[in-house]
Amino acid sequence: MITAKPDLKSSDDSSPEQIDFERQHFYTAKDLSLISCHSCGHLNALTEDGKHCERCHAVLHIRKPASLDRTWALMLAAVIMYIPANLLPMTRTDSLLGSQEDTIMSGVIYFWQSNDYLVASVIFIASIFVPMLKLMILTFLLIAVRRQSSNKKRWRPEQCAVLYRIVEFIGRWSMIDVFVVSLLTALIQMQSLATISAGPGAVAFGAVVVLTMLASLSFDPRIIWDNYYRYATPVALPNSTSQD
Amino acid sequence: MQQEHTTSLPQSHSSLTPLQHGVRFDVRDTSNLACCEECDVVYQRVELKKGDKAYCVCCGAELYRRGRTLSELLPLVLTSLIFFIISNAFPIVEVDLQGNLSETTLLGAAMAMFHAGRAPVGILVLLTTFVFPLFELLLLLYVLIPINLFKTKPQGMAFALRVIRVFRNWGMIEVFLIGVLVTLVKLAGMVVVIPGIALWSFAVLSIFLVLVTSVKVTDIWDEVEKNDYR
Repeated sequence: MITAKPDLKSSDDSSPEQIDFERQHFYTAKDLSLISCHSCGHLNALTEDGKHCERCHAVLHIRKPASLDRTWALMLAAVIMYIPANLLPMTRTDSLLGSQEDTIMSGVIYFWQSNDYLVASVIFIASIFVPMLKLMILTFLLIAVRRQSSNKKRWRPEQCAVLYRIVEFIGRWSMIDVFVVSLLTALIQMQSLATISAGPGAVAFGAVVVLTMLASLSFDPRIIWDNYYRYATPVALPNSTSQD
Repeated sequence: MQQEHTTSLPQSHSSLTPLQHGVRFDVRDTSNLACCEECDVVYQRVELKKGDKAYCVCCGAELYRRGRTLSELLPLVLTSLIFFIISNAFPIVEVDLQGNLSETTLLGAAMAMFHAGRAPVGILVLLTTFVFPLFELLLLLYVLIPINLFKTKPQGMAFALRVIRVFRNWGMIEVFLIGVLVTLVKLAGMVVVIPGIALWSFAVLSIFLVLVTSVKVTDIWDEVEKNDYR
Protein backbone atom coordinates (compact mmCIF):
# COMPACT_ATOMS: atom_id res chain seq x y z
CA MET A 1 0.00 0.00 0.00
CA ILE A 2 2.84 2.35 0.75
CA THR A 3 4.84 1.62 -2.35
CA ALA A 4 1.90 1.65 -4.74
CA LYS A 5 2.31 4.45 -7.26
CA PRO A 6 -0.75 6.22 -8.57
CA ASP A 7 -1.48 6.13 -12.24
CA LEU A 8 -0.41 9.58 -13.28
CA LYS A 9 -0.76 8.95 -16.97
CA SER A 10 -3.72 10.50 -18.65
CA SER A 11 -6.57 8.12 -18.20
CA ASP A 12 -9.09 9.58 -20.61
CA ASP A 13 -9.94 6.14 -21.92
CA SER A 14 -10.41 4.47 -18.57
CA SER A 15 -13.90 4.25 -17.23
CA PRO A 16 -14.42 4.85 -13.51
CA GLU A 17 -14.49 1.13 -12.72
CA GLN A 18 -11.01 0.58 -14.05
CA ILE A 19 -9.34 3.06 -11.72
CA ASP A 20 -7.71 1.36 -8.82
CA PHE A 21 -8.05 3.36 -5.61
CA GLU A 22 -5.01 2.29 -3.74
CA ARG A 23 -5.91 4.52 -0.81
CA GLN A 24 -8.29 3.48 1.85
CA HIS A 25 -11.48 5.49 1.90
CA PHE A 26 -12.24 6.28 5.53
CA TYR A 27 -15.60 7.50 6.72
CA THR A 28 -15.95 11.21 6.38
CA ALA A 29 -18.33 13.36 8.36
CA LYS A 30 -20.39 13.72 5.20
CA ASP A 31 -20.68 9.93 4.84
CA LEU A 32 -21.90 9.72 8.43
CA SER A 33 -24.44 12.53 7.98
CA LEU A 34 -22.50 14.87 10.22
CA ILE A 35 -21.24 18.42 9.69
CA SER A 36 -18.15 19.62 11.50
CA CYS A 37 -18.29 23.24 12.59
CA HIS A 38 -15.57 25.26 10.88
CA SER A 39 -15.21 27.44 13.95
CA CYS A 40 -15.24 25.15 16.99
CA GLY A 41 -14.83 21.70 15.45
CA HIS A 42 -18.04 20.35 16.96
CA LEU A 43 -19.75 17.62 14.96
CA ASN A 44 -23.38 18.43 14.36
CA ALA A 45 -26.04 16.17 12.97
CA LEU A 46 -26.46 16.81 9.26
CA THR A 47 -28.93 19.53 8.46
CA GLU A 48 -29.17 21.60 5.37
CA ASP A 49 -26.58 24.32 4.81
CA GLY A 50 -27.06 27.49 6.76
CA LYS A 51 -28.10 26.03 10.13
CA HIS A 52 -26.15 27.05 13.21
CA CYS A 53 -23.70 24.99 15.23
CA GLU A 54 -25.28 23.80 18.46
CA ARG A 55 -22.11 24.56 20.41
CA CYS A 56 -20.85 27.91 19.09
CA HIS A 57 -23.74 29.07 16.86
CA ALA A 58 -21.54 29.59 13.81
CA VAL A 59 -23.24 29.02 10.48
CA LEU A 60 -22.67 25.46 9.29
CA HIS A 61 -21.66 24.47 5.79
CA ILE A 62 -21.06 20.93 4.56
CA ARG A 63 -18.35 22.40 2.34
CA LYS A 64 -17.32 26.03 2.05
CA PRO A 65 -19.97 27.64 -0.18
CA ALA A 66 -18.98 28.19 -3.83
CA SER A 67 -15.44 27.39 -2.79
CA LEU A 68 -13.98 26.85 -6.24
CA ASP A 69 -15.71 29.82 -7.85
CA ARG A 70 -14.59 32.14 -5.09
CA THR A 71 -11.04 30.86 -5.17
CA TRP A 72 -10.88 31.27 -8.94
CA ALA A 73 -12.26 34.81 -8.74
CA LEU A 74 -9.92 35.93 -5.96
CA MET A 75 -6.95 34.26 -7.55
CA LEU A 76 -7.56 35.85 -10.95
CA ALA A 77 -7.92 39.23 -9.25
CA ALA A 78 -4.59 38.58 -7.53
CA VAL A 79 -2.96 37.66 -10.85
CA ILE A 80 -4.18 40.92 -12.36
CA MET A 81 -2.90 42.96 -9.41
CA TYR A 82 0.41 41.12 -9.56
CA ILE A 83 1.27 42.99 -12.78
CA PRO A 84 1.09 46.59 -11.42
CA ALA A 85 2.64 45.33 -8.17
CA ASN A 86 5.76 44.45 -10.09
CA LEU A 87 5.77 47.22 -12.69
CA LEU A 88 4.85 50.26 -10.61
CA PRO A 89 7.39 51.74 -8.19
CA MET A 90 7.25 50.55 -4.58
CA THR A 91 9.31 53.45 -3.26
CA ARG A 92 10.33 56.87 -4.46
CA THR A 93 13.54 58.27 -3.03
CA ASP A 94 14.27 62.00 -3.19
CA SER A 95 17.70 63.05 -2.07
CA LEU A 96 20.33 65.64 -2.82
CA LEU A 97 21.45 63.47 -5.69
CA GLY A 98 18.07 63.57 -7.35
CA SER A 99 15.06 61.30 -7.24
CA GLN A 100 14.79 57.64 -7.97
CA GLU A 101 11.89 55.22 -8.27
CA ASP A 102 12.32 51.59 -7.33
CA THR A 103 10.21 48.62 -8.26
CA ILE A 104 10.51 45.37 -6.29
CA MET A 105 12.87 43.84 -8.80
CA SER A 106 15.09 46.92 -9.16
CA GLY A 107 15.42 46.93 -5.36
CA VAL A 108 16.49 43.29 -5.40
CA ILE A 109 19.01 43.97 -8.18
CA TYR A 110 20.35 47.01 -6.35
CA PHE A 111 21.03 45.04 -3.15
CA TRP A 112 22.47 42.12 -5.07
CA GLN A 113 24.90 44.39 -6.90
CA SER A 114 25.94 46.11 -3.70
CA ASN A 115 26.83 42.65 -2.31
CA ASP A 116 23.98 42.68 0.19
CA TYR A 117 22.95 39.16 -0.72
CA LEU A 118 20.90 38.53 2.43
CA VAL A 119 18.53 41.48 1.98
CA ALA A 120 18.35 40.82 -1.75
CA SER A 121 17.29 37.21 -1.18
CA VAL A 122 14.82 38.03 1.60
CA ILE A 123 13.09 40.61 -0.58
CA PHE A 124 13.20 38.34 -3.62
CA ILE A 125 11.78 35.35 -1.76
CA ALA A 126 9.11 37.31 0.16
CA SER A 127 7.99 39.65 -2.61
CA ILE A 128 8.47 37.80 -5.88
CA PHE A 129 8.95 34.10 -5.28
CA VAL A 130 6.32 33.55 -2.55
CA PRO A 131 3.43 35.39 -4.27
CA MET A 132 4.26 33.66 -7.55
CA LEU A 133 4.46 30.27 -5.81
CA LYS A 134 1.13 30.90 -4.11
CA LEU A 135 -0.55 31.78 -7.39
CA MET A 136 0.94 28.75 -9.15
CA ILE A 137 0.00 26.28 -6.40
CA LEU A 138 -3.53 27.65 -6.20
CA THR A 139 -3.91 27.36 -9.97
CA PHE A 140 -2.58 23.81 -9.86
CA LEU A 141 -4.96 22.86 -7.03
CA LEU A 142 -7.95 24.33 -8.84
CA ILE A 143 -7.06 22.50 -12.04
CA ALA A 144 -6.24 19.28 -10.18
CA VAL A 145 -9.57 19.33 -8.39
CA ARG A 146 -11.38 20.00 -11.63
CA ARG A 147 -9.63 17.22 -13.52
CA GLN A 148 -10.13 14.81 -10.67
CA SER A 149 -13.82 15.52 -10.54
CA SER A 150 -14.15 14.81 -14.25
CA ASN A 151 -11.97 11.72 -13.69
CA LYS A 152 -9.51 12.78 -16.38
CA LYS A 153 -6.46 12.67 -14.23
CA ARG A 154 -5.57 11.53 -10.75
CA TRP A 155 -3.12 13.37 -8.58
CA ARG A 156 -2.33 11.97 -5.18
CA PRO A 157 -4.69 13.78 -2.83
CA GLU A 158 -2.26 13.81 0.08
CA GLN A 159 0.22 15.72 -2.07
CA CYS A 160 -2.46 18.25 -2.99
CA ALA A 161 -3.18 18.53 0.75
CA VAL A 162 0.49 19.30 1.40
CA LEU A 163 0.48 21.94 -1.35
CA TYR A 164 -2.59 23.53 0.22
CA ARG A 165 -0.84 23.60 3.60
CA ILE A 166 2.17 25.31 1.99
CA VAL A 167 -0.07 28.03 0.54
CA GLU A 168 -1.72 28.58 3.91
CA PHE A 169 1.60 28.74 5.71
CA ILE A 170 3.44 31.12 3.40
CA GLY A 171 0.45 33.39 2.80
CA ARG A 172 1.23 35.98 5.43
CA TRP A 173 4.97 36.18 4.85
CA SER A 174 4.78 38.13 1.62
CA MET A 175 3.54 41.09 3.66
CA ILE A 176 7.18 41.78 4.66
CA ASP A 177 7.75 44.23 1.82
CA VAL A 178 4.65 46.24 2.66
CA PHE A 179 5.95 46.68 6.21
CA VAL A 180 9.42 47.59 4.95
CA VAL A 181 8.01 50.28 2.67
CA SER A 182 5.88 51.81 5.42
CA LEU A 183 8.80 51.84 7.86
CA LEU A 184 11.09 53.43 5.29
CA THR A 185 8.47 56.08 4.55
CA ALA A 186 8.11 56.85 8.25
CA LEU A 187 11.83 56.89 9.00
CA ILE A 188 13.40 58.64 6.05
CA GLN A 189 11.72 62.04 6.18
CA MET A 190 14.76 64.31 6.45
CA GLN A 191 13.37 66.99 4.25
CA SER A 192 16.18 68.27 2.08
CA LEU A 193 18.63 65.44 2.78
CA ALA A 194 16.51 62.48 1.82
CA THR A 195 12.87 61.47 1.62
CA ILE A 196 11.44 58.07 0.87
CA SER A 197 7.76 57.72 0.06
CA ALA A 198 5.61 54.76 -0.85
CA GLY A 199 4.75 54.37 -4.51
CA PRO A 200 1.55 53.05 -6.08
CA GLY A 201 3.20 49.61 -6.39
CA ALA A 202 2.89 49.22 -2.62
CA VAL A 203 -0.91 49.45 -2.81
CA ALA A 204 -1.06 46.90 -5.63
CA PHE A 205 1.31 44.59 -3.80
CA GLY A 206 -0.73 44.80 -0.58
CA ALA A 207 -3.79 43.91 -2.65
CA VAL A 208 -2.00 40.83 -4.05
CA VAL A 209 -1.17 39.59 -0.55
CA VAL A 210 -4.70 40.12 0.77
CA LEU A 211 -6.32 38.58 -2.33
CA THR A 212 -4.12 35.47 -2.28
CA MET A 213 -4.78 35.02 1.44
CA LEU A 214 -8.52 35.31 0.85
CA ALA A 215 -8.22 32.88 -2.07
CA SER A 216 -6.52 30.23 0.04
CA LEU A 217 -9.04 30.81 2.84
CA SER A 218 -11.97 30.25 0.50
CA PHE A 219 -10.49 27.06 -0.94
CA ASP A 220 -11.89 24.02 0.81
CA PRO A 221 -9.27 21.22 0.96
CA ARG A 222 -11.98 18.61 1.57
CA ILE A 223 -13.01 19.05 -2.07
CA ILE A 224 -9.71 17.42 -3.06
CA TRP A 225 -10.79 14.25 -1.26
CA ASP A 226 -14.41 14.44 -2.34
CA ASN A 227 -13.36 14.55 -5.95
CA TYR A 228 -10.72 11.88 -5.55
CA TYR A 229 -13.28 9.44 -4.22
CA ARG A 230 -16.14 10.60 -6.38
CA TYR A 231 -16.11 7.45 -8.46
CA ALA A 232 -14.83 5.20 -5.71
CA THR A 233 -17.59 5.22 -3.14
CA PRO A 234 -19.03 1.78 -3.93
CA VAL A 235 -15.73 -0.09 -3.89
CA ALA A 236 -13.54 1.81 -1.51
CA LEU A 237 -15.57 2.15 1.66
CA PRO A 238 -13.64 0.29 4.33
CA ASN A 239 -14.81 -3.20 5.10
CA SER A 240 -11.76 -5.20 6.05
CA THR A 241 -9.44 -2.77 7.72
CA SER A 242 -6.99 -4.58 9.92
CA GLN A 243 -5.08 -1.94 11.83
CA ASP A 244 -1.36 -2.15 12.63
CA MET B 1 0.09 4.68 3.99
CA GLN B 2 -1.28 4.33 7.42
CA GLN B 3 1.85 2.94 8.98
CA GLU B 4 3.81 5.79 7.54
CA HIS B 5 1.88 8.16 9.80
CA THR B 6 1.30 6.06 12.87
CA THR B 7 4.90 5.00 13.31
CA SER B 8 6.02 8.61 13.45
CA LEU B 9 3.63 9.27 16.29
CA PRO B 10 4.16 8.61 19.99
CA GLN B 11 2.98 5.27 21.30
CA SER B 12 -0.19 6.65 22.80
CA HIS B 13 -1.46 7.53 19.35
CA SER B 14 -1.43 4.10 17.84
CA SER B 15 -4.95 3.59 19.05
CA LEU B 16 -6.14 6.59 17.07
CA THR B 17 -7.90 5.11 14.10
CA PRO B 18 -10.61 6.39 11.86
CA LEU B 19 -14.10 5.10 12.35
CA GLN B 20 -14.34 1.69 10.79
CA HIS B 21 -17.05 -0.19 9.07
CA GLY B 22 -18.86 -2.22 11.69
CA VAL B 23 -17.66 -0.18 14.66
CA ARG B 24 -20.59 0.95 16.73
CA PHE B 25 -20.98 4.54 17.72
CA ASP B 26 -23.77 6.88 18.55
CA VAL B 27 -24.20 9.68 16.06
CA ARG B 28 -26.41 11.57 18.51
CA ASP B 29 -23.51 11.96 20.93
CA THR B 30 -20.65 13.34 18.89
CA SER B 31 -18.61 14.73 21.77
CA ASN B 32 -16.30 11.74 21.61
CA LEU B 33 -15.68 12.12 17.90
CA ALA B 34 -13.18 14.35 16.15
CA CYS B 35 -13.21 15.39 12.53
CA CYS B 36 -10.25 16.30 10.36
CA GLU B 37 -10.57 19.90 9.18
CA GLU B 38 -8.80 19.22 5.92
CA CYS B 39 -10.21 15.91 4.71
CA ASP B 40 -13.36 15.42 6.80
CA VAL B 41 -12.43 11.95 8.12
CA VAL B 42 -14.05 11.17 11.47
CA TYR B 43 -12.14 9.70 14.42
CA GLN B 44 -12.97 8.31 17.80
CA ARG B 45 -11.18 10.56 20.26
CA VAL B 46 -8.44 9.07 22.39
CA GLU B 47 -6.98 10.55 25.55
CA LEU B 48 -3.64 12.18 24.83
CA LYS B 49 -0.71 12.70 27.13
CA LYS B 50 0.23 16.30 27.84
CA GLY B 51 2.03 17.89 24.92
CA ASP B 52 0.95 15.23 22.45
CA LYS B 53 -0.80 15.88 19.20
CA ALA B 54 -3.11 13.67 17.19
CA TYR B 55 -2.70 13.63 13.43
CA CYS B 56 -5.04 12.50 10.70
CA VAL B 57 -3.85 9.22 9.15
CA CYS B 58 -5.57 10.11 5.90
CA CYS B 59 -4.11 13.53 5.04
CA GLY B 60 -1.61 14.19 7.86
CA ALA B 61 -3.25 17.34 9.23
CA GLU B 62 -3.27 17.95 12.96
CA LEU B 63 -6.54 16.79 14.48
CA TYR B 64 -6.33 18.02 18.04
CA ARG B 65 -3.76 18.28 20.77
CA ARG B 66 -3.37 18.31 24.48
CA GLY B 67 -1.29 21.39 24.95
CA ARG B 68 -1.47 24.18 27.47
CA THR B 69 -4.45 24.30 29.75
CA LEU B 70 -6.55 27.42 29.92
CA SER B 71 -5.05 28.34 33.30
CA GLU B 72 -1.60 28.30 31.71
CA LEU B 73 -2.85 30.33 28.77
CA LEU B 74 -4.08 33.29 30.83
CA PRO B 75 -0.64 34.42 32.10
CA LEU B 76 0.74 34.06 28.58
CA VAL B 77 -2.00 36.32 27.24
CA LEU B 78 -1.38 38.88 30.00
CA THR B 79 2.36 38.91 29.32
CA SER B 80 1.72 39.30 25.60
CA LEU B 81 -0.53 42.24 26.31
CA ILE B 82 2.15 43.96 28.40
CA PHE B 83 4.72 43.46 25.67
CA PHE B 84 2.18 44.63 23.11
CA ILE B 85 1.82 47.92 25.00
CA ILE B 86 5.61 48.37 25.30
CA SER B 87 6.03 47.53 21.60
CA ASN B 88 3.64 50.27 20.60
CA ALA B 89 4.57 52.92 23.15
CA PHE B 90 8.27 53.14 22.34
CA PRO B 91 10.12 53.80 19.10
CA ILE B 92 11.13 50.71 17.16
CA VAL B 93 14.17 52.27 15.63
CA GLU B 94 15.97 55.58 15.46
CA VAL B 95 18.03 56.69 12.47
CA ASP B 96 20.66 59.35 12.27
CA LEU B 97 21.57 60.93 8.94
CA GLN B 98 24.26 63.56 9.45
CA GLY B 99 22.73 64.82 12.67
CA ASN B 100 19.15 64.58 11.46
CA LEU B 101 17.41 62.27 13.89
CA SER B 102 14.24 60.43 13.02
CA GLU B 103 12.37 57.68 14.83
CA THR B 104 9.16 55.79 14.42
CA THR B 105 6.73 53.59 16.27
CA LEU B 106 4.47 51.01 14.67
CA LEU B 107 1.54 53.42 14.66
CA GLY B 108 3.84 56.10 13.27
CA ALA B 109 4.70 53.84 10.35
CA ALA B 110 1.02 53.26 9.63
CA MET B 111 0.27 56.98 9.89
CA ALA B 112 3.14 57.81 7.53
CA MET B 113 1.31 55.85 4.84
CA PHE B 114 -1.80 57.99 5.34
CA HIS B 115 0.30 61.16 5.04
CA ALA B 116 2.02 59.80 1.94
CA GLY B 117 -1.38 59.33 0.30
CA ARG B 118 -1.30 55.52 0.44
CA ALA B 119 -4.20 55.05 2.83
CA PRO B 120 -5.00 51.44 1.77
CA VAL B 121 -1.50 50.36 2.78
CA GLY B 122 -1.79 52.32 6.02
CA ILE B 123 -5.04 50.56 6.84
CA LEU B 124 -3.47 47.20 6.02
CA VAL B 125 -0.50 47.84 8.32
CA LEU B 126 -2.76 49.16 11.07
CA LEU B 127 -5.12 46.19 10.93
CA THR B 128 -2.59 43.37 10.63
CA THR B 129 -0.09 44.57 13.21
CA PHE B 130 -2.19 46.57 15.65
CA VAL B 131 -5.94 46.13 15.55
CA PHE B 132 -6.22 42.37 14.96
CA PRO B 133 -3.53 41.26 17.44
CA LEU B 134 -4.81 43.66 20.10
CA PHE B 135 -8.40 42.53 19.71
CA GLU B 136 -7.39 38.90 19.76
CA LEU B 137 -5.52 39.37 23.06
CA LEU B 138 -8.34 41.40 24.62
CA LEU B 139 -10.99 38.89 23.56
CA LEU B 140 -8.87 36.03 24.91
CA LEU B 141 -8.66 37.87 28.24
CA TYR B 142 -12.40 38.41 28.19
CA VAL B 143 -12.95 34.68 27.69
CA LEU B 144 -10.19 33.34 29.94
CA ILE B 145 -10.62 35.50 33.05
CA PRO B 146 -14.18 34.33 33.90
CA ILE B 147 -13.29 30.74 33.01
CA ASN B 148 -10.18 30.69 35.18
CA LEU B 149 -11.35 32.77 38.12
CA PHE B 150 -15.05 32.06 38.38
CA LYS B 151 -15.40 28.83 36.42
CA THR B 152 -18.14 30.37 34.33
CA LYS B 153 -18.50 31.05 30.64
CA PRO B 154 -18.61 34.79 29.91
CA GLN B 155 -21.56 36.26 28.11
CA GLY B 156 -21.17 35.88 24.38
CA MET B 157 -18.23 33.48 24.63
CA ALA B 158 -19.27 31.72 21.44
CA PHE B 159 -19.17 34.96 19.50
CA ALA B 160 -15.86 36.01 21.05
CA LEU B 161 -14.20 32.72 20.14
CA ARG B 162 -15.49 32.94 16.58
CA VAL B 163 -14.05 36.43 16.23
CA ILE B 164 -10.71 35.27 17.71
CA ARG B 165 -10.52 32.55 15.11
CA VAL B 166 -11.02 35.05 12.28
CA PHE B 167 -8.53 37.58 13.70
CA ARG B 168 -5.86 34.95 14.12
CA ASN B 169 -5.39 34.51 10.37
CA TRP B 170 -4.71 38.19 9.91
CA GLY B 171 -2.45 39.07 12.81
CA MET B 172 1.07 39.51 11.44
CA ILE B 173 3.29 40.65 14.31
CA GLU B 174 6.02 38.13 13.50
CA VAL B 175 6.01 39.11 9.83
CA PHE B 176 6.30 42.73 10.88
CA LEU B 177 9.33 41.87 13.02
CA ILE B 178 11.11 40.40 9.99
CA GLY B 179 10.07 43.52 8.06
CA VAL B 180 11.74 45.70 10.69
CA LEU B 181 14.93 43.64 10.48
CA VAL B 182 15.00 43.89 6.69
CA THR B 183 14.51 47.66 6.98
CA LEU B 184 17.40 47.91 9.44
CA VAL B 185 19.77 46.04 7.14
CA LYS B 186 18.56 48.08 4.20
CA LEU B 187 19.25 51.35 5.99
CA ALA B 188 22.50 50.26 7.60
CA GLY B 189 24.63 51.53 4.71
CA MET B 190 22.83 54.84 4.39
CA VAL B 191 22.24 56.09 7.93
CA VAL B 192 23.25 55.28 11.50
CA VAL B 193 20.66 52.89 12.90
CA ILE B 194 19.90 52.78 16.63
CA PRO B 195 17.52 49.96 17.60
CA GLY B 196 14.81 51.03 20.04
CA ILE B 197 13.20 49.31 23.02
CA ALA B 198 10.17 48.35 20.95
CA LEU B 199 12.35 46.26 18.62
CA TRP B 200 13.35 43.93 21.46
CA SER B 201 9.84 44.04 22.82
CA PHE B 202 8.48 42.96 19.42
CA ALA B 203 10.88 40.03 19.39
CA VAL B 204 9.64 38.86 22.81
CA LEU B 205 6.03 39.52 21.83
CA SER B 206 6.40 37.33 18.73
CA ILE B 207 7.60 34.42 20.88
CA PHE B 208 4.72 34.84 23.32
CA LEU B 209 2.20 35.05 20.50
CA VAL B 210 3.50 31.75 19.13
CA LEU B 211 2.88 30.21 22.56
CA VAL B 212 -0.59 31.79 22.77
CA THR B 213 -1.64 30.68 19.28
CA SER B 214 -0.44 27.14 19.96
CA VAL B 215 -3.76 26.82 21.80
CA LYS B 216 -6.37 26.63 19.07
CA VAL B 217 -9.91 27.91 19.37
CA THR B 218 -11.16 24.33 19.07
CA ASP B 219 -8.91 23.36 22.03
CA ILE B 220 -10.52 26.11 24.12
CA TRP B 221 -13.96 24.78 23.21
CA ASP B 222 -12.97 21.21 24.01
CA GLU B 223 -11.64 22.15 27.42
CA VAL B 224 -14.66 24.29 28.25
CA GLU B 225 -16.90 21.40 27.30
CA LYS B 226 -14.82 18.83 29.18
CA ASN B 227 -14.92 20.83 32.42
CA ASP B 228 -18.58 21.65 31.91
CA TYR B 229 -18.36 25.32 32.85
CA ARG B 230 -21.68 27.03 33.22
